[in-house]
Amino acid sequence: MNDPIITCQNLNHRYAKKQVLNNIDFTLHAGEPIGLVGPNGAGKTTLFNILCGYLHPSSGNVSLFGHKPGSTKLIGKVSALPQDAQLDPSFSIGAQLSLYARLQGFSTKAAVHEVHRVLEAVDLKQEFNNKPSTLSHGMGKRVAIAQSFIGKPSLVFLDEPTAGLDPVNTRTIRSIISEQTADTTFIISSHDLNELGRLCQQVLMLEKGHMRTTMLDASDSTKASQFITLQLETYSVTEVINTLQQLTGVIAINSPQRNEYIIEYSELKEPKLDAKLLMLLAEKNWSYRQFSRGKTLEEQLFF
Amino acid sequence: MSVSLKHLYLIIQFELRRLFASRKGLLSLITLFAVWGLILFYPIRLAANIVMQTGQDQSNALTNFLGLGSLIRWPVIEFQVYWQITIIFLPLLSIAIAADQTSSDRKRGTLRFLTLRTTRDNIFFGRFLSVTVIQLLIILFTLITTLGLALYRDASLIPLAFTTATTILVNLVIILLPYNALMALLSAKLNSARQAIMWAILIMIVFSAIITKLSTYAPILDILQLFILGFYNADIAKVSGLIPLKLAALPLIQTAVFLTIGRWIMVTKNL
Repeated sequence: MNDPIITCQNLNHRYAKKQVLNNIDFTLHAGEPIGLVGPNGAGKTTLFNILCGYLHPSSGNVSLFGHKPGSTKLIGKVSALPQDAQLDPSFSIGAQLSLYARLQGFSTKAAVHEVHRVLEAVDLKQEFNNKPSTLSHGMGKRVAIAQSFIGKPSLVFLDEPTAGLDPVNTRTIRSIISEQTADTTFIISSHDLNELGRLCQQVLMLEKGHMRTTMLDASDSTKASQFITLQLETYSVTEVINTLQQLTGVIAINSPQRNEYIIEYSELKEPKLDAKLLMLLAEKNWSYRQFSRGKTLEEQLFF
Repeated sequence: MSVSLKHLYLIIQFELRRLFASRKGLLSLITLFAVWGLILFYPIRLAANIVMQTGQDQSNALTNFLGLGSLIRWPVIEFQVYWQITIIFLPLLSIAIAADQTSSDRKRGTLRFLTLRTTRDNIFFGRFLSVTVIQLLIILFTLITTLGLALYRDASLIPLAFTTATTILVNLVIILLPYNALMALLSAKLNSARQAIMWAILIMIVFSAIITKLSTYAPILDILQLFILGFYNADIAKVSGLIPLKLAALPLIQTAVFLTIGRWIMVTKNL
């Protein structure tokens, strides 16, 4: 396996008397996007700020590519979309991003070229000469993501990249991230578990300052029992559960929300349960809204 | 400490664009030039005319009025008045110009973008040097216009006026450095330019008054007066040449102390 891109050992942080991070230990390697989830106040942004070098931890060790956060050795290699950070309203977007590129070692001409490249990646090339105040919230977020792509960094932290965005902008940002994953490992902090479920293969879960589960496999593919999540139109819950339980291989059925059923089954006993389930739905004349393999990320992490 | 000359240069260059290439910066410059025009054409030109008509002794009435007495003996009268005005006016202007070196960028989060690309040392010293360069350009502009006024009166003053202008330039930079450094410190600590200006005024007035009062009760505390910003300015104002090392040492030491504390705040503060 490659050298780790992030190593945290016994990481602690406290604000006044409140312990926000409590002996966090984890190691991450380059690859597919990695999600960071947790309820409000769990310490996600604090962890992000420490990893980006904005915040000095109370104790513990952190290293990115073997260097401390904020080290000059990480310039151009590590980048971030800090939560709520804004560009300077006095300068054009192009002027500011060009300065960033120059600080990363680009020549004047190459910096302008690079800024055009990253703005094009977020479909905002035409905004080069405009000031940040002329942008909508979604466009501003995309520009902030664009700055994190300058110099094709190996590691990018995205803190709540889709917070406050409409579905169209959310989808655009998801596409932008997906397009860059070949060269870059993304660490994405978000409350939007649907987004993370779509983007990430690995998820870190922070709760009350603890890394409750070091890493989760979002696909659940290694487990002995498998899951199917089914969302039906409104039918009698008892009837649905009783009917589904009669299928071979079904271990348990759970209905966490109205009209939603999570079916746990043994793939060894019935490898084609999904097909049989669809046939049963047709036979019973039950309409479904959603039919998916595995549990939702929300179910995996929180329930 | 991690400083890169290339990064310092890029930061200074960018800050100069803020002054010369942004609408807000240009408006500030136009306002400054308008005020300077008034100072140049009234106090400086009129004082020079009075001297030419009545002799050097009479001009001291003006210098006495400004509280600087008859000890001033700059060889070119325009620069004599220039020196008296700028030694009061420029420190105040410095506080305003240097008040927002890093505070609003920190509050807005812009520093977070910058620190991904450069060190906090580069940002802190780069912004301090930018403010100093801007002041240097303002001083040069005002000196050149004053030089023009003096030469318009008497073109034979060229060599003398040029030497005098250079001396005043060096003196003013030495005097202004601790003000810029204090504002760099306050800007690193506080969240807005307004707070920084308020604290600078409080430090200059209240802190100075407390130290002065304390030292009257306990003369051993006289040493604390060395921490008062502009403590020697009254003595420096009476100088009619390059500031002697004895007087120049204090502003330079104050600058070093303020920059050391400010840099420590900048490096350790959470962004």
